[in-house]
Amino acid sequence: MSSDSVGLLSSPDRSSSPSLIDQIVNDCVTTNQIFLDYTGLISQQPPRSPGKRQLTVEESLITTNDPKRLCNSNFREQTDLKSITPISINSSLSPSSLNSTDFLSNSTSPPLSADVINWLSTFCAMSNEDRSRATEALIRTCSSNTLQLNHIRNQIEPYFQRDFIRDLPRELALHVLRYLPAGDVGRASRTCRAWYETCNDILLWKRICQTKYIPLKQLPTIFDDTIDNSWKRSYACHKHLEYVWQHGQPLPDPLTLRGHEDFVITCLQFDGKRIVSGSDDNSLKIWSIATGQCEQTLIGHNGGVWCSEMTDDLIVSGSTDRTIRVWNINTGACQHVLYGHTSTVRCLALHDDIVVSGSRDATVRVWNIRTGERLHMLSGHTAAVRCVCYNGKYVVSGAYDHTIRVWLPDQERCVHTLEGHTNRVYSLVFDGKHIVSGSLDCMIRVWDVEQGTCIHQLTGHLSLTSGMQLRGNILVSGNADSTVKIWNIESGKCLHTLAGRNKHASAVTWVQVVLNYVVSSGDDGTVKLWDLETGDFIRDLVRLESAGNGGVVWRIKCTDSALVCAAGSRNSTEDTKVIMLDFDRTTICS
Amino acid sequence: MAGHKIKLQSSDGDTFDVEVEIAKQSATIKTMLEDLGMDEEEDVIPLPNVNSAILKKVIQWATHHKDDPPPPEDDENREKNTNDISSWDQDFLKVDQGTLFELILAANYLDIKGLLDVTCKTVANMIKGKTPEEIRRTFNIKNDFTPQEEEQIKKENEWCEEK
Repeated sequence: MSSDSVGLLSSPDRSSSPSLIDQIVNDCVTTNQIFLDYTGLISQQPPRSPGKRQLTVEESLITTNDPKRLCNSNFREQTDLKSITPISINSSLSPSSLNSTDFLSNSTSPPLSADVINWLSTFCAMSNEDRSRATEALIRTCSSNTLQLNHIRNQIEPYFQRDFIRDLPRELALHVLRYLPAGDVGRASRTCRAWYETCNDILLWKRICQTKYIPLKQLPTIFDDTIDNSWKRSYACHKHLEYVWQHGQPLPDPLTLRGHEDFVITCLQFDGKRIVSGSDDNSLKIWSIATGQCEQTLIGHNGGVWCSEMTDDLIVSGSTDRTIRVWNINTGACQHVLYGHTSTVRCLALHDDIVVSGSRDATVRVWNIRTGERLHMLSGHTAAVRCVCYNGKYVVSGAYDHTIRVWLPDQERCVHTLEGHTNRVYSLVFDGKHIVSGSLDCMIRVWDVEQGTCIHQLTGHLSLTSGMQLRGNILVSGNADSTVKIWNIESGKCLHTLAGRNKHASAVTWVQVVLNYVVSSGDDGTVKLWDLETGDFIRDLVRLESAGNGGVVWRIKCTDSALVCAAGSRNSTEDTKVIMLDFDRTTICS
Repeated sequence: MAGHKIKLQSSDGDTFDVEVEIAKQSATIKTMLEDLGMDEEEDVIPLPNVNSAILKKVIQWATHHKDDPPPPEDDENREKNTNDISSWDQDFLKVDQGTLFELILAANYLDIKGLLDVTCKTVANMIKGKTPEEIRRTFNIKNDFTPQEEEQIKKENEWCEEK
């Protein structure tokens, strides 16, 4: 088979291939039918007027020889097919017009010589059986010539290819694309127009974002001009931020906010615009990111501040002076002082306008921060309440009496007392379904809030769990044993231990999940970045000058684009300060 | 009812005797049998959208998978895995793209979730990890972007290459 004859039959435009594939694959006899149909077309084509484009052979093949395509009513291009269906097949074509160039399906191929056309006519006149043999013999003849053989293969291959994304009904094309990671969908969108259109489906990108816990990103972003699809843009921003956290060189210049003198920063809030630091110097400070200045110092507590919460316009703080104070974030004015606890207020949990407080007086109290009203008191614990969570329905409290209690605050009723820990409970996370508790007994326990039962005991840590965060089924725990562990709370299995050569040199003080990373702070004066999926160490984000020599990072708080840490030292080698690394400054917002 | 058979008729007129339990993997056929009461041995179920060659493959697949547990509900919030295709399915789907294409359409029409998922996964695996040019070669696609469009679309997707 010479290249010309193949070129004549073939249709590098692949749209004719389906019919051929079906027939070749399913029934070798009909392979020959195609050739017959083809010759039929030759003899039935009307003469072409030069210069004007007529239907090519393969287009005719589509229309006349592709019943399956036409019966698939959901084909998008069906209207196109119909529009070219009414070709004239009655006029006769003189043999001489076989030389006409527009006869060729591919205008780049040279015209066929008379020899080739004669040879082809002989082939067309053969029986089906002879054609099969002739084709086999032809291929065998070419088999000593690799170039010719390759040419034949290249000519035949398109008949066995299909453009799935263009030709499948859209919902099925999307079904295929849903199995691809975002990078592959992005790359596939660069293939051609039809793929671009399908690969930019808004729901496809929404799903991709949801599997990665990526929220819809508000404008403006650096991708506003380049990406229209809002979910794809959110993904791109996320990916870009991951890149700068992981690889950005150099690290952003730290913004250092000095304050609270030689005291300890005990609690830290950050909403992207403002930082609020609370200290055992009895005060809180509000820092503006925009100016890098302390905007307000909140003075009023008569004892150290040990816990705080923050809304758009209010700050709530708890103190060793037994009170809770509510402050206006803009003016710094104290709006309410909430009296009731008879000992240190050690922990707070905020939900809408309701704040729940836990105290060394062994009670949990519920307040309205707008009105300053005392709503409920929950008593039952027999020792100091150290940690508390509230989701609008259940209050969960962990205490030094080794138990966790689940409360319905409106009824002031304890619905479960979770017993199992053999020492003080220090930390809690609660997702509405699971309660996870960390205790001085070195255990982490996972509980079912409805049943009040212990689902798993996560064993492996060697000391007190200082902080935890839950994302879906994945729990990250920071421990005084200097490691961070990543667990699956459904299976109860430890997936990774963030340790090794680059681990913290002493206790982990706090952990937070950001993007696809774990950020951990340590008593060793460092903040470290780890890969949440693999558990691999990535790099140190902060290393205090006095790291290893008394410097401590007490607390961290991250947004997707910035890290804030509260740092200082145990021995006055390092000033107490807040340090911010803004990964956004030179990129997303520029 | 084990062994009880029904007849399926392809678009090109061939009929296939298939055990009811095997045929019922198709939600479409299951509904026909249950809602329309087409439960008699002599009834023939016409499948005008599936030709004989494809129907034969579908029946082969359904026969192999007749004892499978029902596929789990899709978790919209979980990343999909394409590396879990059984070796039998991999061999079964070593077919040309045209046949794979027709199998997807048939699985969709017949509403056989397991077959639809595994065929779509197979196509996804053909796209995975490839450059746009490699994708074009795999499926014989013509790049129909203008140079300007191509530049713009490249920019739009540059972030995928950051790692």
